[in-house]
Amino acid sequence: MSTMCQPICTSLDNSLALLSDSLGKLKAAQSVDVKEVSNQLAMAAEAVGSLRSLVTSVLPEATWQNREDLDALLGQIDRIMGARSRLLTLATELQRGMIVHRRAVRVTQMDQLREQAINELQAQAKAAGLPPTLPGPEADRWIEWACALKEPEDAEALQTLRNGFVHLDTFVANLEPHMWVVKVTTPV
Amino acid sequence: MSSLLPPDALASLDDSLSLPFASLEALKAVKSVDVEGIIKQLSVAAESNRNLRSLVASVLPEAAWQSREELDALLAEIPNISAARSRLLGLAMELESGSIVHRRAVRVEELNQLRQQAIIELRSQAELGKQPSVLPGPEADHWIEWACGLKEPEDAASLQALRTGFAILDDFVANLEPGMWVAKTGAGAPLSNGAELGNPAQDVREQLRHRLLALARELESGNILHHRALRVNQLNRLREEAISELRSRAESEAGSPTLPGPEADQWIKWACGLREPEDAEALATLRDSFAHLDDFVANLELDMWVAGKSPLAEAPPQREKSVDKVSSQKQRRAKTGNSDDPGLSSSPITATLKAATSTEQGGESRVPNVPDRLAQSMIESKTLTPSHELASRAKDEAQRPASPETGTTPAISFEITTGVGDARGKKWWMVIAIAAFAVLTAYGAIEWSSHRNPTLPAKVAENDLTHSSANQGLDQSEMSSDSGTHAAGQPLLTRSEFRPQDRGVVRTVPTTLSASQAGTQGGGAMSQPAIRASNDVAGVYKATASLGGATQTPGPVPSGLQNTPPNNTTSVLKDNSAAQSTLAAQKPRISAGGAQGLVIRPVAPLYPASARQAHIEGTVVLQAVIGKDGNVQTVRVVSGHPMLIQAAVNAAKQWHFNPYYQDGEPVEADTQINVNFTLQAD
Repeated sequence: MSTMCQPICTSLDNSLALLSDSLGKLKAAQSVDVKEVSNQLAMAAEAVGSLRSLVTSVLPEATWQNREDLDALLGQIDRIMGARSRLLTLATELQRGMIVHRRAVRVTQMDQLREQAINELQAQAKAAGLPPTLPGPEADRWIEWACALKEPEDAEALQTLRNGFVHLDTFVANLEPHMWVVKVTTPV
Repeated sequence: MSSLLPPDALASLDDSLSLPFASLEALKAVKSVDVEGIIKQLSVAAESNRNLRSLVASVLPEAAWQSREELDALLAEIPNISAARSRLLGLAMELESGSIVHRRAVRVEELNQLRQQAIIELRSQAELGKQPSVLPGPEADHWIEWACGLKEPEDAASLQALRTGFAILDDFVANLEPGMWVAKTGAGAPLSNGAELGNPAQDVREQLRHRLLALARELESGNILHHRALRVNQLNRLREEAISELRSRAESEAGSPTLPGPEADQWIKWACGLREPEDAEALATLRDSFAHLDDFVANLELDMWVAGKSPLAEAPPQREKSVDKVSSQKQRRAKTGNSDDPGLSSSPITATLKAATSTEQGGESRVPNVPDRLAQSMIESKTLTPSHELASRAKDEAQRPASPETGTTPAISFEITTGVGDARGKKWWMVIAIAAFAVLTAYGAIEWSSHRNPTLPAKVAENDLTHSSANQGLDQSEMSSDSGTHAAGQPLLTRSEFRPQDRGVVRTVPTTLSASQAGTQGGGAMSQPAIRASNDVAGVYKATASLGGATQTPGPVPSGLQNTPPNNTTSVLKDNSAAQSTLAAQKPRISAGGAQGLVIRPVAPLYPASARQAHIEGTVVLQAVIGKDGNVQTVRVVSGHPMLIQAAVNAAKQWHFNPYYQDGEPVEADTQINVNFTLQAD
C-alpha cells in the first residue's frame, strides 16, 4: 500500500472495525451506544472521503468496485506520486544550480536549455498518469551522474533519458561537469 | 420464535440494520455513503434493539447472550419455557382448586401441607428468570390422575423426572391416593393466588398447634408407674422435657411441625406400639421434630403409663373409649370376683382436687379448701354428683379468686385411685358426718399424743403397726413395709419431725410436692379424667385426687424394702401378693364415685428435707385400707423411694374419708394411693 495512503487507510480500517462491532451488537440485540456508533460512522466516512479525494486527484478517471480494486489503484497512485516527486525534486535541483563558462553566449545557451529541462520535468510531473521513468540517482547527485554517461556503455540509460526527457537529455549533453555549480544558499 | 415476542420485533431490528451493514461494506471499499441516512437508520435500529431486549428480559430476566446466534437460540427456547411455565402454573391452580378427603383428619392435614408445599414449589419453578424443570405427564386437569397412576418400575423414567425436578410434588402424589383427591371443589372457584391459600394454611397450622397442646396436656395429666423410683424420676424428667418441647413447638412462630400418630388420648398407646423397622417413617418424623417426646416414649412402656386426663379437657368421650372402659371393667370384675357388686360403676370417675399455692406457678389462683368444699357440697346435695358436674364445679372453685399469699411456692398434689363400685351410704350422710367428726376427734387426740412424744424411726414403724393392727389386723407385709424401710438404712421420719415449723419451712421452699394416685394399674388401661378442682391445704400444696380403676396389681417393693432383715421381711414379696389377694377377696374396693364422695380431708405430705436436699423425686405407691370409720387404717407401701416413703405414709394416714357402706353397713374398703414428689424451681 502506498505510504501516502497508509495512515488514511489505517484510520478507515480502525473506524470500520469499531463500526462493524457496534452493528454486530445491534444486530444481536445487545446494548450499544448509538452516539458512539454515529461517531465511528462519521470517522469512517471522513477517512473514505480523504481516500477518495486522493485517488481522484491522482487518477481522476479511476473507478473501483471493491477494496481489492481500490488497493490496486492505491498502489498505482503510490508509484505515480513517487515518480512525480523525483521529477519535481530534480527540477528544483536544476533551478538551484548555476552555469559557469568562459563564454557568456555559452552560459546563455546553457541557461536556456536548463530552463527547458525544468519546464519539461514539471510538465511531466503534472501530467496525468504515470510519468516517464527518469533513470539515475536522486536529484542531488543526478547531474553529476548524467554528465558522466558515455556511449556505448550507458546507452540504455541514455536511451531512456532521451525517450522520456528530450530537453533534459539535451541539457546534460551540453553540460560539462565543471560548468555546473550548485548554489549554496547563504543564510541571511 | 417466542409467541410472547411480537413477530416483527426481530425483523424490525434486522431491517433497520440492513442499511448500516450495507454502508459498512461500502465504507470498507471506500465508497461514498449517506452518513446522515445511516445515522437515522442507526437510531431506528437502536430503538428496535431496546424493544427486543425488553421483550426478552420480560420472559427471561436473567438471560444473557453474546452473539446473534445465542440470541436466536434463546428466542427459540422462549416458547418452550413459556409453555412449561404455563403448565406449572396450571397445575398449581389445579392443586389449589381441589381438595383432599380422608377418613383421618391428621392425614388430611399432612396432605394439605404437602399440597401447599407442592404449589409453592410449582410456582417457584414457574418464576421468571428460571428455566423451569420439565414436568412430565399430561395437562393439569389430568395430571393428578396420571401421577397417582405412576408405578415403578414401569414408569421409572417419569417418576425420576418428577422426583428430580419437583421433589415436593412427587412427595405429595406419592402420598395421595386417587380416591383422596376431589378436583375443583368450592363451587368451582379455584384459588387464584397465595393470599387465598393463606387461610387454609393457617387453619392447618392452628390444628397442628392444638394437637401438640392437647398431647402436652395429656402427658401432663398422666402418671408414670414403676417399681423403681429412680426410673419414675427419669421418666418424669423426660416427660417434662417432652411437654416443654410440645409447648415450644406449638408456640413456635415458624409453625408447628407435624406430629405423627393419632389424637392425644390415643397417642401414647400408639407411640408405645411403634416398632422399627415397620414404623420407621413415623419414628423418623417423631425423632426429627420432637426429639424429647421421642426420647420419652422410647423409654416408656405402655404398662408404665396411667393416663389421667385433665378434667378441664373438653373433648367428649368417644364411643370406642366407652367400649374400652366397659371391657376394662369386665376384666376387673373377673379379677375381683365381684361382678355382682352393685357398687360397680360403669364409668369410673376421676376426681381431681387441686390447689395452687401461688399464681406464679402455672398461673393458677389460690383457692382454699376446695376438696372440703367440694365434699361438703356433695354431702349437702345428698346425691352422687356426676363426674362432669363435679368437674365443672371443681373448675368453678378453682377459678374463684383467693387471697394471695406471698413467699410460698411449693405445692403438693394428690391423686387417689380406688376400686370400682358406686357410692354407698348416700342415705347415711348425716351419720357419716357425725361419725367422721367423732373419729377425727379421736384420731386427732392420738396424733397429738404422738407429736408430744418424739420417737425413734423404729417407733414410728411400731406406731404404724399398732395403729394398723388396732383397726384392721394388719398383716405382716404391711408391717414389713414400714419397718423394712427403716431397716434399709433410709432415714425414716418420726412423727416428731412433722412439726408445724417443718410445714412452715416447706412453705417457703420453692418446691412442688405432688402426691398422686393412679387411675388404674395392670393392663395399662387409661384412667378416666373427670374433675379438677383447686384447694389450698395449709397454704402450701396442690392436691389432686383421681379416682378410678378397679383391679389393683401391687407393684414390686422398692429395693430398700427388699433389704429388710430376714426375720421381718423374708416373705415380703410373697406376703404382698398374699395380702393383696386376701384384701381383694375380703374388702370391697371403693368405686370412683364413691371414693370421690368419701373424701373429707386430704392431707399434703411434707417433702422430706433430706430428700429435697438430695433432689430426690418420685412416686410412692401405697395400698390403703379405709376403715369403717373413714380413717385410713393401714397403709402398705407398694413402691417408692425410701427417702419419700415415710412422708407419703404419714400423709396418707391422715387422709379421712366417709365410711364406705355395703348392704347398709360400713365396711372396710381397699384403695391405692400414689404420691408423687416433684421438686420444681421457682
